[in-house]
Amino acid sequence: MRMGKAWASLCCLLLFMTLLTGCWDRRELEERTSVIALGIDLVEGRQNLYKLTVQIPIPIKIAGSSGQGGGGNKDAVKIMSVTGKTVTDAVNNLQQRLNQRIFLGHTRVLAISEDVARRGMDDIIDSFRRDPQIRRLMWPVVVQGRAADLLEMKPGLIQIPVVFLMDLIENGTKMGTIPDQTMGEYLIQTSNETLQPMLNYVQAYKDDVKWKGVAVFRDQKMVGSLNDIHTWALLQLRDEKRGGDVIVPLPGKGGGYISFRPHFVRRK
Amino acid sequence: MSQLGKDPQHNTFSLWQMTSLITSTLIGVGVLTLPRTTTEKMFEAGWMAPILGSVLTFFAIWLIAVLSRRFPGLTFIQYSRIVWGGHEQSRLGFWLSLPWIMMFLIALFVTTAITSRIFGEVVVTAVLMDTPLEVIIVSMFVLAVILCLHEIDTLARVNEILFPLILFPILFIALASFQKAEWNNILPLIRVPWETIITGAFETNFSFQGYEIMLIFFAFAHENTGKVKAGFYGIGISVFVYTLIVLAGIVVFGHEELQRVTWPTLELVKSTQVPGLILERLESAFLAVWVAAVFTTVANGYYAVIYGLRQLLKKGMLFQRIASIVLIFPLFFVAIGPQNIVELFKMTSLIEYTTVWISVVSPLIHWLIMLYRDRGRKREKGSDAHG
Repeated sequence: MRMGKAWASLCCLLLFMTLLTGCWDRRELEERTSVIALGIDLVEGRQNLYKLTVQIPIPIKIAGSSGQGGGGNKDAVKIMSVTGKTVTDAVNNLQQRLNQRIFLGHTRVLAISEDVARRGMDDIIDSFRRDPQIRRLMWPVVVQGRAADLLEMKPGLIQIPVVFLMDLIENGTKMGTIPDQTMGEYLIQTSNETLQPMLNYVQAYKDDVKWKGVAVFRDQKMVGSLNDIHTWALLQLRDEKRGGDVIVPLPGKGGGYISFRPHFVRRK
Repeated sequence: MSQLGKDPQHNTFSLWQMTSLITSTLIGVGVLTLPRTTTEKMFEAGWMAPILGSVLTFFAIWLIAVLSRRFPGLTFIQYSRIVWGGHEQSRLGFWLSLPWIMMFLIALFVTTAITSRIFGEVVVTAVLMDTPLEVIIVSMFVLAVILCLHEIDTLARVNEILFPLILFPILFIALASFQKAEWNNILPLIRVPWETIITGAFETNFSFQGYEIMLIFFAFAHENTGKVKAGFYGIGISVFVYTLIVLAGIVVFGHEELQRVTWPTLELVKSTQVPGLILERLESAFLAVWVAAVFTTVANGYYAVIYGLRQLLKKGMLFQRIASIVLIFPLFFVAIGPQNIVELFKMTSLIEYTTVWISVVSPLIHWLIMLYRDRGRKREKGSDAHG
């Protein structure tokens, strides 16, 4: 009986010891720099360097402006650019300029400039594939022109500019007009022998962004793009998604157009 | 040995407890790599591997149950010497049975260590990147030791209570990921030659390892419960879960992509979004629950080793408690032995081949000898009245 009690108390002690340790990886929200979007460009004149642009939301600004009502959303995010030989190298260079540890677990958009995409995505994608922080649900998009432009745009409707693009794509995929091309899909399509990948193709303006269709790849190199109508046809054929409205000119002399809105698509 | 049968802790396991004991031991770290290992050779047909591979497992658990039914209330450690030496020559039986028992205990010991190492690797790579691997492994061992300090009926109840916690999240993940399914990925149904399918299925049998602990735990079954039934239920549930997970992996990723991810099931969780659920990063929740699955595998294995050792040396509860603490040290060093994950996977496949000996060949040999002896005794009884 006494033996049992001794063991019980020893067990209790051991249990309490585990409570004391806490969590090794504890890192509070303010102790890390969450990157919400990454942009990758080529450095002009230097062929072997990548330019990495990041968008970092500033938590205090976001919380404060909603209370004050209409604070300048200019300051809600911080945008930084660094160069590096690889993406990992650039991230390391960025770390040297930041006070807190970079955290890529919340990264939702990866903007890739068309030049980089046309040169080949192998290097970039490989470094993201091996990083356990990177989510497979991240959206890689190909940007016509500079990728940094997409991160620097100020849509005004929303505090964090990249969330604007995210919502745009997300609502598009729900409506069936924009393909659901996440990082995971891209990786699957590159490793599948029977598929070639595609990515959403956007153009960034100063204060908004336009979805232009998809960029199509061959062996991880961008070879061209499809416009919106072509993309909808592809969506209807491949994924049985509804696609966008089809506008047909009226036959006869009167002119005018018919908007044809598909509700569902069935392929044989 | 006969007085053991009257011990109050014997004859307590219900059918449900035995089923959960088997299923929760089988479902462990293997779930995370199974979609990759099965599709490695069988490509699109990988989902058939658990079904085909289970045939051998069903046979083995049937053998183990039949052996246990022949010696009710006795564990493998106890009846092995009776099988080898009969009731008369117990010394001969002891020495003949010793290699089989030692093989069983050592293999189970190493498997337990490696399982906890794989668990540690997953946790370190996926969620807790700054936590030392050793800390994760040791904390798992400490939990196992705490369980070993208790009697055997505690083990059954712990398994019973953790069973739904292990089963439902895995089923949930598999079903939730089907919404992204591309069913073309499993076509063509059979592309590889039959020999490949058979070797692939045979290798999947390894992922069912762990049921050999029933060599010990079937002894504590309640008299009226069907051991064969419990075994078949336990393995049947595991086959179902495994098939579902592999199928989910193939239809979501395709077999080529599966070859490129180290922990396919974890990636499956990562890329699954559940509509209407607030949780966005499901993998943390999944891993938290998965800890329970690994714990039952590690703790059941370790308990079986300690209990086997206790019976082999005919010692009591105090020995079990001391041994469970002392044996943690060699266990830890086996666990941290492999230098990296490549070595770890190599070691796993090596162990898998030896476990076939423990879980299939050894019960088969014991069963055959038992049959031979029983027939001999019957003939003796027929010719000689007082024999």
